Amino acid sequence: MSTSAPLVKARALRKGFGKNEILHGLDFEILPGKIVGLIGHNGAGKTTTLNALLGLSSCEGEITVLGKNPYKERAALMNDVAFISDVASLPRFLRVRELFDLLDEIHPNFSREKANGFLVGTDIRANAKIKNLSKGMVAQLHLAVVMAINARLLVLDEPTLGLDITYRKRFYKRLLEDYMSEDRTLLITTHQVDEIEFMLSDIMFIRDGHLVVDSSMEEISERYAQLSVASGNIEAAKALNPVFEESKFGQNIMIFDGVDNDKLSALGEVSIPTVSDLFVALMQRETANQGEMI
Amino acid sequence: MRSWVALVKREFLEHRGAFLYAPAVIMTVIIVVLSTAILMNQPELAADAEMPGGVKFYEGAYLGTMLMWSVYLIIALLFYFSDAFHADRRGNSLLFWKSMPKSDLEILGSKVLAAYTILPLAIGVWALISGVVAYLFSIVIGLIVVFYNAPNFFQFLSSFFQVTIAAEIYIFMALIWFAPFFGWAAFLGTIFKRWSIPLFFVIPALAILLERVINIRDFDYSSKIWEFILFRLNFGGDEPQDFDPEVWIMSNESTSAWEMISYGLSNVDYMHMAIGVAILGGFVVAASEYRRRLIDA
Repeated sequence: MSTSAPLVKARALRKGFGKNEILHGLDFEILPGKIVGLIGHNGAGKTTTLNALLGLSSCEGEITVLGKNPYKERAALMNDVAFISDVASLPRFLRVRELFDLLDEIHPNFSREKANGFLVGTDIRANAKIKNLSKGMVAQLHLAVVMAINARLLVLDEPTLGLDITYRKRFYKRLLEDYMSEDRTLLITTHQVDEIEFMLSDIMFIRDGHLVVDSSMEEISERYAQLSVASGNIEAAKALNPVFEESKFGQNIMIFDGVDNDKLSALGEVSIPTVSDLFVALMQRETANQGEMI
Repeated sequence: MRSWVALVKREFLEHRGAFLYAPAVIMTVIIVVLSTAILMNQPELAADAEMPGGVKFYEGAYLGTMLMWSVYLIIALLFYFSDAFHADRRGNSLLFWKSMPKSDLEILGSKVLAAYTILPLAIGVWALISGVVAYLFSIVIGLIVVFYNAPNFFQFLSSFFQVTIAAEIYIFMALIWFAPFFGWAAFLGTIFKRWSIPLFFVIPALAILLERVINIRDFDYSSKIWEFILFRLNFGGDEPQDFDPEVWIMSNESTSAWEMISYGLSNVDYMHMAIGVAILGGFVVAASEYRRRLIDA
C-alpha cells in the first residue's frame, strides 16, 4: 500500500436531484499512480460521482482533488486534470488544426506533438472540419487531445463508446504504454469491463449510490474466489455461504467472499473471478424492476 | 493574454458567417446594384445644379455606408450575444470547454471581448472597403455627370481618414451605450437558447403591460420601463443645435474628424453609459453562474 497523500479524497459525498438522492454518502480515496475502474450499472451514480469530482456539479459532503475544492476551483484544477465525460463533444465548428491552435494557447499542459503522435494511424487530417468527421473519428480526436495533456489525473467516462474493437484495444494499449506513469492517475468508467481489467490497479463498484467494493485488484484476488463445484459437492459448497451462484453450461459456479482457498479447492476447481463475474455477483439489485407492467 | 486572444479568435471562427461572409455578400450585392444603376444612367439625377461639392458627395456616401454597416453591426451583435452565450452547448461541447482551465466567467468574458473588438473590427474592415468602393463610384459618376467633379486622390484620402476616424469612434461609443441590450440578449440566450430573441421583446413588453395594469387605478398610463428603453435607444441625445446639415453638405472641404466626433458625442450621458456597462457586467456574471451549474446541453 502506497503511503502517498491521496489525490482524491471524498467524505460523506451526497448528491440529490430534487427529492431523489443519487449518492448516499460515499467515502473513498484515490492514491497517485493508480488506475482505478469505477464500475456500476446504468444510473448507479458513476457519472454523478465523476461530475462532483471534476467540479461540474456541487454536492454535499467533502471532496478534494489535488487539494482543491473542485466545484469552487474547477478552472485552476483543470491545469492538472484532464477528462472526457462524453466523447465526441468537441466544438464542431473548428478544423482539427484550429482546435490544436486553440489548445496550444489556452491549455498550458497541452502538447501538440503528442496529440499528433496519438493521431498516427487514424484517418484524421489537419484541415478536416470536426463536424465532417464520423463519430468514431471525433472520439479518436478527443482521446488524442486528452492524452496529449500532461495531467496528474485523467478521468475517462465511457471513453471508447462507439469505437470499434481494433481502436479500443489500441487505445488502451497506448494509454498504458505511452500515457501512464508513476505520476499519473487514471479513473475510468466503462461498461466494457473485460477490456480494461488487465490494466486496473484498483476497483470501485457503485450500486444505487453506495460503494459496495473499493479495493485494490490484489485484495480482490485474495478475498474473492470462484468455484466450479464438482458434482456431489453442491450442498457442501452452499454451506460456505457463496455470495453468488449460477448454473452455466451444466456447471455450478459459485463466488465466495473471504472463504479459505483450501476449503474451496476440496469442493471443485477454484479460480479468481473476473471483474465482470464479480460485478454480476455483487451488483444484484433489489430495486430493479421485477416485472412491473408499465 | 495569449489565451484571451485565442478565445476571442475562436469566437470569430464560430461566428465568421455573420461578420465575414454575410458582409461580403451584402457588399457584392451593393456593388452589383450600384453598377447596374450607373450603367442605366441613373446618376443623371446628380447633374442637378444644386449638387453638393465632390468632397461632400463622397463623404455623404461614405457616411451613408457607415450608417448601414453600423445598423448591420448592432443587429448582428444582438444575435451574436443571444447565440454565443449558449453556443458552447451545441453538440454537447460544453463538457469540452469545462475541461479547459478557464472559468465560465472567463469564457463568457471572452465572448463580450470579441463583441467589442474583433467582431466590430471585421465589420469596420467592410466599412473601409465600402469607403474605397464609394470613391471608385464617385470617380465613375464624375466621368458621367457634367456638373459633378469627383474629389481628387488627396481629398479622398483626407475625407476617408477623417470620416473613418469619426465614424468608428462614434460606432464604438454607440456599442458601449447599447451594452444593456446586449447583456439582456446574452443573459436570455444563456437560459433560453434560441428562444432568447422573441423573449428579448416579449418579456419587456409583458413587464410594461403589467406596470400599466398596476397603475391603471391612478389613470397613469406611463411606463417607467418603456421610458428607460426609449432613453437607452437614443444614443447621443438630441442633435446639437449648432449643426446645420445643409451648410455642411454644400461645403467643399473635408470634414474634420474632431468636429464630427464633437457633434456626435456632445450630448452623450456618460454616467448612464457607465451604468449600462455595469448592467452588461451584471448580466454576464449572472449568466456565468447559471452556466457554472450546467453540465449537459
